[in-house]
Formats: sequence, structure tokens, C-alpha cells
Amino acid sequence: MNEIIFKIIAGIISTFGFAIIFRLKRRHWLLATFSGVVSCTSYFVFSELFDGDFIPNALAAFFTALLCEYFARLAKTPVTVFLLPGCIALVPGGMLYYTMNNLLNHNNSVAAECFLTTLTIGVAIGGGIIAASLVRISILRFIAKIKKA
Amino acid sequence: MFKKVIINEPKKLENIDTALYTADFILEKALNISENILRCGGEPHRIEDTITRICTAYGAIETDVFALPSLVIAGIKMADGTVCSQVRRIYKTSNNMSKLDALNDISRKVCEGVVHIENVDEYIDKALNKQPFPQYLSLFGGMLAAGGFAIFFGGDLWDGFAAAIAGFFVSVANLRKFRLSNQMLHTIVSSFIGAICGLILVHFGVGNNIDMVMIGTIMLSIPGLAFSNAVRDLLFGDTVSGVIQLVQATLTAVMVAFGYIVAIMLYGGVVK
Repeated sequence: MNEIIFKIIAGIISTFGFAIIFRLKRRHWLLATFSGVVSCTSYFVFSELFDGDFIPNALAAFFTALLCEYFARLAKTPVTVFLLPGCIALVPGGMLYYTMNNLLNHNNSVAAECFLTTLTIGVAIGGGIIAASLVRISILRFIAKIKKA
Repeated sequence: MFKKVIINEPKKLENIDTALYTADFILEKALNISENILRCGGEPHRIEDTITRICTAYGAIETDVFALPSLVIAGIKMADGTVCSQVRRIYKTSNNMSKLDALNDISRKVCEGVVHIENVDEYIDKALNKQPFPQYLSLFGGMLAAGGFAIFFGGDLWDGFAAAIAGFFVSVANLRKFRLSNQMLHTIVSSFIGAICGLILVHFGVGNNIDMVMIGTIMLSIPGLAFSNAVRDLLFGDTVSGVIQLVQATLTAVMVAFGYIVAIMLYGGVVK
């Protein structure tokens, strides 16, 4: 448990680092870091609850993207501003490294497996982001309908 | 797969005499904004939306835009029947969220009529020259990011420390002053620097696990969400721009791997 909290704090720190690297405005730093909190925490929670790589990553990306859509509306800014640093902790950098390392050591079958995992996680994050933006669109449509009636 | 959805339909401004402006003029200003948005890391579908909104606000009855990560084609038709089409080619893109935010703000104000379309160029200049914080702060950001990810993926504190030092050197290589003109070559060089720093630090006993230090620094050079954005574009029906981004992301990942492999082989040749 302590170890996971330690990891989550590290993930939050690196989210903040990426907020600086992507040159966010200073007033967006806090919101971006908070979306990093949600992505790291939800990733660990969902990877405890579900097996495999696809579902935990997709769910974590979904909730992070949903929060980012809300923040973007709050700060009147494009959603990319929060999505880029927010979802960076889910990006499969580790798997990419293992793919490369196994290729270098001639473990081709392990490398192929790691490569497929990398692709799966990438698609999962994309799917989560799409689901969040569809939810936002349907909520806005619902509100527009209510206002008309 | 999904239909394009626009919640707030683009609207024509009411208090503006559209006969004052020619189609050329409006389209040029709209493209000036959206070209810079694309340069600062905006998505192609955002460009299409921006141009449609601005041109409709200033009296275009038809707007057709096609945007790719490196190209924008736009044609409009005015109420009096004049038509115009313009093309922009974009060579370099980078992620600069503060500029993206400022430019998006300008485009929204233009659509609301707060900023007059004649003054758009001044506002763009102002937005592009503004720095939210000094550039060397991104070195600090690189240290935090690399060190944090080394621990996040399972390293201990010493690994985080080593990755932070290596991340500092990668960020120095990523500064605008030292950027190489060829993007792919730059990716190879910066990932090579990250790998060689990590290997040297672990060799002298600063970090314990070489894997974790390397993963921490690799996060600085990999294309980030580019792959997921490509998947997103593909599923939303922007097939061409999705495929282009997919190829770019994959190519960048391969180049990162290449830089790391060269560093590891060099290290193996020198030490063993």
C-alpha cells in the first residue's frame, strides 16, 4: 500500500513536470496536476480491480479525459491543454523500452508481446478519450434540448 | 464511424456590415490564426472548426476546410457569390500550450465580435511573443518528469535521482537553441544523450536499476499522446490525418529506440 502511494506521488510530480515542459500557463498548472492525480490514482485502482492492460488503461483515460473536458470548459481553453499532461502517466513508455531491450537481446517473441501491449495501451487511451468526448457531446445536447423545451 | 457533431452552430455576427470585407481578406485572417494554432500543437479538427466559425461570423455562406497536420486547404463562398480559396503549408509543429490557449482565446473573441478582424494580426503577434515563464524552467520540468517516471515505473529514490540528472541533459538538448532542423535526427540525438547519461550514471553507482533510469528518460522523448490522438482521429472519421499522425508517432518511437540501441551498443563495446 505504501509503495503504491509512493508511486502515485511520483506520478503526480512527473505530471507537474510535463505541465512545465508543455509550457502551460501558470494558472493552469494546478488543474493539470490535479488531472494527473486522477489518472495515476484511477490507474492503480482499476489495475487492482481488472485483469489485463486494456480495461484499466481505458477506464483511467476515460475518467481523466472526462475531468479534463470539465476543466477545459471551466478555464475556457482547448481540452488538449489538460489532456496532454494529464494522460502522460498512462503512456506506455516502459513497454516501449522493454520491446527495444528484448529486441536487442534477441528475445523476439517477448519483444513482439511487449510491442502488442504497447499498441493495446495506446488504443485503450485513445478509446477512453473518445468515450469522454462523446459523453460531453451528449450531455451538451441534452442541456440544449432542455433549454429549447 | 461517428458523424461530425457541432453543438453550437457557427453563427453570423449581427452588428457587422459584411459587405465591407472581401472573401480574400476574411479567409486570410482566419488562416493566420489557425495556422499558428496548428503550429502550437492544435489538432486538425480544431483548425477546421476555427476557420468555419470565423468565416461564418463574417458573412461566408459556405465554408469548406480540409486540415492535415502539415497542410490547410480552405475555400469560402460569400453571400454576393464571390468565392476564394487559400492554402497554407505548415512545416514545424511543437507543443506550446500557453500559445495555443492565447490563440484559441483570440479566435473565440473574433467570433464574438470583441476583437475586430482587422486587428487580428496584432493580437497574434502579441500572443506569439508572450512568454509565460522563462525557458530554463523547462529544464527543471524535465528533471521532475524523468525522475518521477523512474519511480512511477518501479524504481527506487536513487533511480529517480539518476533519471532526473539524465532528464536535465535531455531537456538541455530539447531547448530551442540546440534544436536540429531535422525532427527525426533530433529525436535520435536527444534519446541517445538520455541513454548515455543514464548508462554512465548507473555505471558509477548513482542509480541501481538501469531499466528504470532508462524508462524515466525515455518518457521525455517518446511522442506522448500522439498515438492515442491518431487513434482518436481515425475513429472520428478523419482518416487521412489519423494515418499521418499514426505514421509520425510510430516513426518517432522507432527513432527513439534507435537512439537508445546505439547508446547501449556503444556502452557495451567500450565497457565489455
